[in-house]
Amino acid sequence: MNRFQQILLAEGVRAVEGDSPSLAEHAEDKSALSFEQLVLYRAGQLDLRLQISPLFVHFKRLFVNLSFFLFFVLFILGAGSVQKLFFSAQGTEVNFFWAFALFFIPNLLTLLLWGLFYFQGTALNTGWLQRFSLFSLKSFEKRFNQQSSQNPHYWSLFRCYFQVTFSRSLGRYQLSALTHLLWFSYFCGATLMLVVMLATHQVDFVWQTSILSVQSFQWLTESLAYLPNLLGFPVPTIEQIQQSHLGAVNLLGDAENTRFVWSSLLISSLVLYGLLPRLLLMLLMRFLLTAGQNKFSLPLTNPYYVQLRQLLKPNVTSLGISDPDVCVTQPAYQGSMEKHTHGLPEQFYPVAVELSEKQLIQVKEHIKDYAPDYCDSFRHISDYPSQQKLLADIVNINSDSVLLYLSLQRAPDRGLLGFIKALTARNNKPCYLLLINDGLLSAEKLNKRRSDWYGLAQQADVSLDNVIQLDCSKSNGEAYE
Amino acid sequence: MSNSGLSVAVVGHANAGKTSLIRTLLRDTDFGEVADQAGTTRHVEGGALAIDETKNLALFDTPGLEDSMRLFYLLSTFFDGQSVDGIERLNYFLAHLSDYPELEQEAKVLRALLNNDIIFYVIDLREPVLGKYRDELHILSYAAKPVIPVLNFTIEGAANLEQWKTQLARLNFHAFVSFDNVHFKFADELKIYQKMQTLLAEKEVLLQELINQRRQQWSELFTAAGELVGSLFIECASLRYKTLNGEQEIEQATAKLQQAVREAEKKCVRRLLKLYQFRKGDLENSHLPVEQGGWELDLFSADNLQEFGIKLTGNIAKGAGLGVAIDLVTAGMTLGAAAVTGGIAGALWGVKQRYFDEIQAKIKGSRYICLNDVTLQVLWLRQVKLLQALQKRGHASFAKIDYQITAQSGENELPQNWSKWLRKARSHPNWSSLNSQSTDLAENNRLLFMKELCQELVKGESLR
Ligand SMILES: Nc1nc2c(ncn2[C@@H]2O[C@H](COP(=O)(O)OP(=O)(O)OP(=O)(O)O)[C@@H](O)[C@H]2O)c(=O)[nH]1
Ligand SMILES: [Mg+2]
Repeated sequence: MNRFQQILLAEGVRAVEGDSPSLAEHAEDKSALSFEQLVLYRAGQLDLRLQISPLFVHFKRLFVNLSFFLFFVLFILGAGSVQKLFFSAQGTEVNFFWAFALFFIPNLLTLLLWGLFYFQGTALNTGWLQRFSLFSLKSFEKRFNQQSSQNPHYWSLFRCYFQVTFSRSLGRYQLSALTHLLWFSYFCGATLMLVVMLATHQVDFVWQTSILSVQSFQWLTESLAYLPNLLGFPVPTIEQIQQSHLGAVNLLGDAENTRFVWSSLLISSLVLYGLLPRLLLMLLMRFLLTAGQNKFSLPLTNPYYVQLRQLLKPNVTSLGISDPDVCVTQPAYQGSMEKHTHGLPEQFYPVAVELSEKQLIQVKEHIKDYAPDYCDSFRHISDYPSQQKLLADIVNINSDSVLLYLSLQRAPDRGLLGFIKALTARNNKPCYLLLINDGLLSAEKLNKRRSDWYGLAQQADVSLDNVIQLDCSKSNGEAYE
Repeated sequence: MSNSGLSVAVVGHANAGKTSLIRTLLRDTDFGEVADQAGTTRHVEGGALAIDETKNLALFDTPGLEDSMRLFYLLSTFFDGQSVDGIERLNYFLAHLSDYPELEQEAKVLRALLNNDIIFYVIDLREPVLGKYRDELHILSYAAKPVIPVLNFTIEGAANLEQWKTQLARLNFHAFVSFDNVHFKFADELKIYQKMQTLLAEKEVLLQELINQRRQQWSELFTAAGELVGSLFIECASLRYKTLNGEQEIEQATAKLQQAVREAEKKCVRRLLKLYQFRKGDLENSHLPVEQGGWELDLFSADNLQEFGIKLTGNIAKGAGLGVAIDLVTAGMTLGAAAVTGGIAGALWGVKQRYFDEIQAKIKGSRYICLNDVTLQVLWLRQVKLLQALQKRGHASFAKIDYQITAQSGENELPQNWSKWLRKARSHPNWSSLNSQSTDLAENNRLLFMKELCQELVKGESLR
C-alpha cells in the first residue's frame, strides 16, 4: 500500500468516525514515530476492523470502469462520425479541409477551454464532468450494489473517497486526464475508421473556397504538411495541391498517387495534431497525478487531526510523584462553620500578625477604641526576630489576655500555627484571634477560610469561642461579632 | 534532572498557586490537586512538556513552603556563623533532617531546588511582602540556581505590584514575570520562556525551539477552533427544511429545525472545549437539558434575544422568538432574498387566521423554512465570545465559562461581510449536513468558504 492509499485510508477512518476521533486501537509503544506516521498506522489498524480498503478498491474500479465505458463510447463515436462524413459526401469527392476542420476545430476549442479551466484552479473541480461521473457512479451503485444499503458507512466513505481523489490539484489532474483520454479515444476511433474507409473506398480529395485566395490555401496546406513531411509521411507537392483545387483539370494524370498523398496527409495530420497531443497531455496529467498523490498530505490543521494529535502524541507526559508523604495528613477542621464567638475580652494585649499596611491602620483604629493603653506600642509580628522577641516577652506582660490581629484572607500555614502554639504554650493567658475581613473574598471562599482558621485554633489550643471576625469592608467602621 | 532537556522546580509559599501554574502551562486540568488552602500538595510531582522527540521541559510541583522563617533561621545557625556557602548549608540540613521532622515538607522543596536547572518562585501578589517571603527568597538564593519570580494573582493583587518589585530587586531578583493562572495570556506564557532564555544561556536554542513550538500549536489550535465555528455557521445558515404549507406542518418543521440547530451548537461547543482541553463541566449550565427549560442559554428562548438587545414588539417578536424565517417563494428558489426574516413568521403566528389565510391563499405548494438572521447573529456572536473566553482561560480556572451575549457588551460586532455570507450560505443548502439529502460533493467550495469565515475569526483576534 503506497502512501497515498494510506492517507486515503486515514481520511476514510475520519469519515467513519465523524467529528472527533473516538475509536480505540490497541496500544503499542510507537513513540518513535512521527504524528503523521502514527495516524497512518492507526488507520491501517482500524482498517482491519472497519474494512475500508476493500471499499476503496471497489470505488477505484468503479471509476476505472466508467473511464473504460466512456472510452468505448467515444471510440464508437469517433468511428461513427468518420463513417458519416464519408457517406454523406456526394460522390467520391471529399473536401479535404472541411474533413480536417470537422475533427480538429472542436478539439481545438475544447482544448482551449480546458486550458482556461485548468489554469483557473478550482473551476474544473465543480465542472460537469465531475458531476456527471459521480452522479452516474452513484446511481449505478444505488441500483446494483446491495452493499451500499447494508454498510452504514458506505455513502460517507463513497463521499470521502471521491472527495480526496478529487480534492484540489488532484481533481484537476484526474479530470484533465479523463478529458484527454476521451478525446484520445475519439481520435483513435476516427483514425482507425479513416484508415479502414480509405483502404476500402476510392475518394478524391479536393479543396474549395469562396473568399480565400488560392495562395493562402497553398500556404495552409504546406504548413499543415510540414510536420508530417518531416516525419516521413508522403504529402502532396505544390503541383498536387494546385491540381486538387475544385474544378482544376488534372494535368498530371496521376490520380492514384494524389489520392494516396492526400489520404496520408489527412491521417497523419489527425494523428499528429489531434491524437498525439491528447495522448501526451493525458500522460502528462497521469504523471502529475501520481506526483500530486505522492506529495499529498493529510489536512493536519483540521480540528479532527488537531484533536487526534492530542490523543496520539500528547505533548504532555506525567513524570509521576516523588517524595510522597510518609505520614497521614491531618484532617482539616470538620466542625461547623458558624461563628462561635462571644465577643472581645474586657482587656487584652494586642498583637498584629503579618498584616498589610492598610490592615495595620484598621488595627490601630480598633486598638484606639478597645485597648487605648497600647495605642502606640502594639507589636507587629512579621518576621522571625519579632516572633522570638514576643515569645520571650510574653510572660512578663501583665494583661488578662492576648489578642492576635490576623488577616482572614490568608490561608493559615504551619509556620503561623507553630508560632501561635508556642505563644499559647508559653503563657497561660487566654489567647484571642481577631480575623480581619477586608471583604475581598466571596462569601463561599470566606466560609472556607474561616473554617481553616478554626482548624488552626483547634490545633493551637485556642478556644473556638475566642475566634472573632472583624469586618472592615463596610465604610462606616467596624462591625464585629 | 533530564540531561538533554530542562527541568524546573516550581516553589513558593503554600497556596500561592504552584500547582495551578503547572496546570496552566501543561494545559492539563487534571494535574495534581488544587484547593484554596495551605498544604494541598504534599509531594513532588512532575509533568513534562515535549519539545521534540527526545527533549522536554520538565516541571516539578512541590509542597508549599510553610515554615520558612524557622528553616531559614536553622540554616543560618549551622556552622556557627562561619562563612559556608548556601548549598552546603542546604545539604547539611538535609543530612540532619531527622532532627527536624516538622520540616519534612520544606526538605522536599530543598531537594527539588538542588535537583533542577531553574526555579520558578510563585508569588501571591495579594500578599504584602512579609518576613516569611523574604526568608523564602533567601533560602532560594542558597541553592545558587537561576530563579524566576512568577507573580500570580495579577488582577487581585495589582496594588502590591510595586512593593513586590522593589523588594525583589533588593534581594537581587530582577527577572520576574507576571503570569496569572486564571486570566491566561498566551503572551505571558511566552515571556516566561523568554526569561528562561536570558537566564540559561546554554539552553537558549532549546528554549527557542519550545517557544516556536508553543506558538505554532497555539495558532493551530485557534485555526482549528475557527474552523469549527465556521462550520457551525455554514451548517446552520444553509440549513433549510421543506414543509407543506400548513400551519401545523410549519410548526412541526420549526420544532425540528430548532432541535437540529441546538444539537449542532451543543456539539460545536463540546468540541471546542475538548480542543482547548477543558472539562465539560466548565460550561455554565451546560448539563441541563433544554427540554426541561433548564438551559438558560437556549438559542431560541425569547430571553436570549432580549438579552441581545433586540426589541421584541408585536408580531415580529413572535416570529423572532421562533428563530425561523419562512421562504414565501415556492420550491426550488433560493432563500437569497429572504431578508424577510422572522417578521413574516410572526405575522403567521400572531394574527393567525387573517394573515395566514391571506398568504396561504396566494401561495400554494411547499415552503422552505430556515434560521432567521437574528438567530444566526446570536449563534455566531456566542461562538465568538466562547472562543475568546477559551483563549483567555487558564487551565487552573474553576469559574464557569459564560458565553451568553448581552446587548451591553460592546463587542457584539458582526463581521463586515455578514450579509454576503448569509446569502452565500443560504443559496447552498447542500452545504449543511443537517439537511437530509446532502451527499453532494461541492465540498471544495464549502471548504473555501469555511476557510474564509475562519480567516475572519482569526484575524480579529491577536495571536501574540
Ligand atoms: N484568581 C486566581 N486564583 C488563583 C490563581 N492561581 C491560583 N489560584 C487559586 O489559588 C488556590 C491555590 O492554588 P494551588 O494551585 O492549589 O496552590 P498551591 O501553591 O499549589 O498550594 P499548595 O499545594 O497548598 O502549596 C486555588 O483555589 C486556585 O484556584 C490566579 O492566578 N488567580
Ligand atoms: Mg499545590
